[in-house]
Amino acid sequence: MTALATIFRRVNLRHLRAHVLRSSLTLAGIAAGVALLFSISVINATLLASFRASVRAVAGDAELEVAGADASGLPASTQDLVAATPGVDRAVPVLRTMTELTGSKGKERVLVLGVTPDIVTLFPKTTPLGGQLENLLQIDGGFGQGGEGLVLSESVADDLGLGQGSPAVVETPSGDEGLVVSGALTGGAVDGLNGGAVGVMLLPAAQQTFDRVDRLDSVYVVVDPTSSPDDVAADLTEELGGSAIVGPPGQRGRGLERVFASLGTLLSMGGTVALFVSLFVVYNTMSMSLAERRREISMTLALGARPKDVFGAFLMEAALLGALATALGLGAGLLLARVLVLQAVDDFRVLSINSSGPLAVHASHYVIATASGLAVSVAGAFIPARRALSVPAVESLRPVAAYEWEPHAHRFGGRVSAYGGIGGIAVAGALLAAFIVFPEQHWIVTVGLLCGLAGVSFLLPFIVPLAVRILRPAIERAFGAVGRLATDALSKNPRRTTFTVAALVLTLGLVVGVATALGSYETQIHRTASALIGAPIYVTANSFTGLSSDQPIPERLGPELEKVDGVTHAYPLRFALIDLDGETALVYAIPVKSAIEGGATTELGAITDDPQGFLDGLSKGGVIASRLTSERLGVEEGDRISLPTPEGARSFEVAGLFDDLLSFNSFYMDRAVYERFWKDDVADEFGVLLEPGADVETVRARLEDVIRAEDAPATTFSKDELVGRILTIVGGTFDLARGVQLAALVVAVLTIANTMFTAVLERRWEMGLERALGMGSSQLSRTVLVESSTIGLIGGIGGAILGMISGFFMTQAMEAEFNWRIPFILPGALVALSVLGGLVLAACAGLGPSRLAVRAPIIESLRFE
Amino acid sequence: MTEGSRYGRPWSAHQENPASAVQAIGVVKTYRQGEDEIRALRGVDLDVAVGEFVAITGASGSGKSTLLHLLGALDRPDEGDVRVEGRSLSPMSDEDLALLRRRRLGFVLQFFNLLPTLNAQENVAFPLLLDGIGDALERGAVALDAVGLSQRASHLPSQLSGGEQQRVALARALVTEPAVVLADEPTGNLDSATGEEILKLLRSTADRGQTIVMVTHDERSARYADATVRLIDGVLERVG
Repeated sequence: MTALATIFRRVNLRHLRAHVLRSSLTLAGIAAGVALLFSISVINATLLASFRASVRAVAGDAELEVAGADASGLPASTQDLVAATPGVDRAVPVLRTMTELTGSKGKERVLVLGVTPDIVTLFPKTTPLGGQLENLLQIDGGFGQGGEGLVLSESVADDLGLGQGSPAVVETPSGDEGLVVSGALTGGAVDGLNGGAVGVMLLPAAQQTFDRVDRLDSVYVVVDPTSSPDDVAADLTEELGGSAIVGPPGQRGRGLERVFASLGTLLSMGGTVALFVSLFVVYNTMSMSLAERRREISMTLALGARPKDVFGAFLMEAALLGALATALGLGAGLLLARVLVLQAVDDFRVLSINSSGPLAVHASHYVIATASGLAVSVAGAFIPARRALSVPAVESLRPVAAYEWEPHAHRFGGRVSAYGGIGGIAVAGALLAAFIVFPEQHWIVTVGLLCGLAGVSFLLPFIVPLAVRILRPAIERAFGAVGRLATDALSKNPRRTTFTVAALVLTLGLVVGVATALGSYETQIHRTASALIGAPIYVTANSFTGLSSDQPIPERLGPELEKVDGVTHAYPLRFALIDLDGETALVYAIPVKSAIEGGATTELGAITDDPQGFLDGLSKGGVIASRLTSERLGVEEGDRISLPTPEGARSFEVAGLFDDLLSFNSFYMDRAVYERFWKDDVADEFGVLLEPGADVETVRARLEDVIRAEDAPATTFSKDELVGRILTIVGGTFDLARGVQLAALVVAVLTIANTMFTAVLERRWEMGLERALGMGSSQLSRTVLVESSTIGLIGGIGGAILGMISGFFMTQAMEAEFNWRIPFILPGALVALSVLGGLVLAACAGLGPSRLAVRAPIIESLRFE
Repeated sequence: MTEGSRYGRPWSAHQENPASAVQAIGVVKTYRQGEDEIRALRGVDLDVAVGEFVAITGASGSGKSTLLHLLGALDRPDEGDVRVEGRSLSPMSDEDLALLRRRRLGFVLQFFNLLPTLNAQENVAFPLLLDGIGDALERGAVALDAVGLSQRASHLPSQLSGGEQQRVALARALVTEPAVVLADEPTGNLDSATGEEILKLLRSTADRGQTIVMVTHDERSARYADATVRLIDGVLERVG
């Protein structure tokens, strides 16, 4: 132990300190991987926590929530029904609206709650002995004369410059309306409500303002202390007969949590690969260290150190680097998470999440990231440390170590490697096949991907040296002596070359694979959207997020739109979220048949094999279910399905199936049927059909005039703009994935730079000799650049091939998960870009080392034997 | 002006002193070692005529190798000047010095210093390959034949004996027909019989008109030279 500690303290630690650049590169590589893994898990947890908090924050201390099963909510009479149920102590009604509020200083999206004054009793503050103190939610100043005032949190009031008595403008389905700020919402619970961006109104005033007369979204239930919440819930469920969701507060949001699960799977894969790549950074660094210290190690051994002490000291050095890098990575991960959460909130506007709360960092996140960082560091150092064991003590006494190289002497990649490679790829294939059968099990994809990457890594020792041999004549022809020396350097250390190429292959493979899968997905969305968006102009609610609108458009706007010159027909589209046994489902309530008869160019063939059956089924009052819904709920064409309506559960025939891009249940339903059962006649959009030859832009201008005149919260879009908007909404979901890809590329560049520094340092003697023999500095610099570019070329080609294969499987996985047809599209441009990108990245990474090679004094280099 | 016109054939046309192959004029070189300043060369003057074989001897640390590095354009003096074929090295850029080493200087070093991934023929031809000369390998083969190693042309350095490696190094030093061959302890890592062979080769090369400057601490080796100078604590004195 003493010898180990001495070697570690006096040799290894000093080397770390003496090589600041190398140590920094390694730290950066591991830290980047740890930061990614850590931030991704924190982002997932934060988004989920924010979503859960947002749906349950209003509940305060209530034990139960009775919520509407769809966007139309509950009839106001539900409150009385709930209050009269045995065991219910208090029943507090709430109407929720996300809307845009304008004050003298600007605009902000605010959660406006329609409440009764007893809402504050849901937020009691008690002493440790149960004594009652003031509530954690207080309404200071009241609701003004007539009870029509708006009470705002202090943060919103400050942000928008709205003091007590100030006029504010709020967006409503009927257009902008003026309100007066009558008071301030204070107390410790305010920050938990939409991150503090909140206001409250008396329930009747809110119902009036937001065109929701006689409607509620939830009734929060405080159960009598003598009753059991479960019993009360059972009684309420029986009483309300399936027209409402009864359960613990927040249960209504459970269905949408699936969206986060899908996102989490995609991002976790990216983080895992980035960490996997950083393993190569450590490997390279420790190899570099070994190359530099062979003489020193040999001398240490000659002086009596045991090989296992040298081995242990190497691993300790790696563990120390890993620990420092992990600490850095955790810090950087927290910053990255904060930035990406902001991005995600923007991408997922459709969900009630906000970024103002703290990040949800659990002890398990720290433990997993720290363990991963340390494990990667020690694992990466293991092979170089093992090689240190084989350094002979006599080497320090010999004059020339550089001649140890012989062709074939350094061939590696034995039987174990071959079996490992074939086995890894076989397991990956089996797991991906299993995923198609069990699409709910996301972990299968991550594990399958890791097995595949490990398999490819094991096979690369056979592939990379072969690729170098194949490229060698061409490089020699192109670059002469410089090319020869560069390829010699690559062949001389096939292990290092392979590991570097592997880092690039895996990274580019990930980037190309994810981009290929997402590209196929986006292309299919584009095709489908273009086929389904059949009107040349759409009038869309300003608050439409892609799934629903906070402020939908009243149906009465339709006839006004039809009066516009050049317009033949305006049909309403409603996208309603309903709760289906605890899972969210979307109902497309669209008058499809009349729209097509009116001239809409909708191509149902893009989503169904039987367009006529689709139309006939809707005409008969049936629903068309998505294939995902069919699979998940086990319903087939011809079956009947029970859907919750405000008047209780109603049975509908499944008249057909269609392909949808959503990751949760969805149905098509005729607009008239929806209106009849859901008593909901508003629209998220109107499709506007034009007379033949009418100019789209001219008619749009006229439609805008009508919208202004009617003070409707809507905007016009052309068909192309709407397709673009859908792609933006869908594409936004992938921004995070793109961020992860970029970070993985950074790790790859660090790896190559690290390798090239190793290569230059290892060959300092050779380079000194080459320069002594008359090689110009530009020639030497070119040698290093050709060497790194060759790595880039092989890595780029390998990455493109791996990316295409993994992209194909990822596309299959997405098909299986979404139950949607996503034809695989070979990304020719992306493949070319990958090869070019590999070259450019590698060339950039080689710039620093090439300068280092040129700067090294010749005589010093010659002494480095 | 192309590189070739600067250091190729036209070089000899611009010689200031055609009789002098390499000169050191008042050369001073100082190194720092920790806080100590070591004056390796204290104003050395040396003029080696074309076709002359000069041995530089001296005790270990006397500055022999430092002087050879300066004559070989591997380093620059702190004071004074070095001239090769009459041309001062002081104003030359690093790139110019590289071209000078490639085309007008040859090196034979104690540890052979062959490139491990190149075979014997390629090692010999290396300076020509750097210039992209078309028949580099053929000329390499001729040079290798001249040192009696044509049958080992395709062997790697690790497959050659020490004496063979040094003969390859000598062939490489001669392949460009340089102005001067600089040899640094060329027998220092060889047994006496093999060392003798190398010295005979150097002698016969000098007899064909090649200028050679050899650094050695071995008086017996120095006997093969036309003249011997000794370095004592950075100062040169002529011995014979």
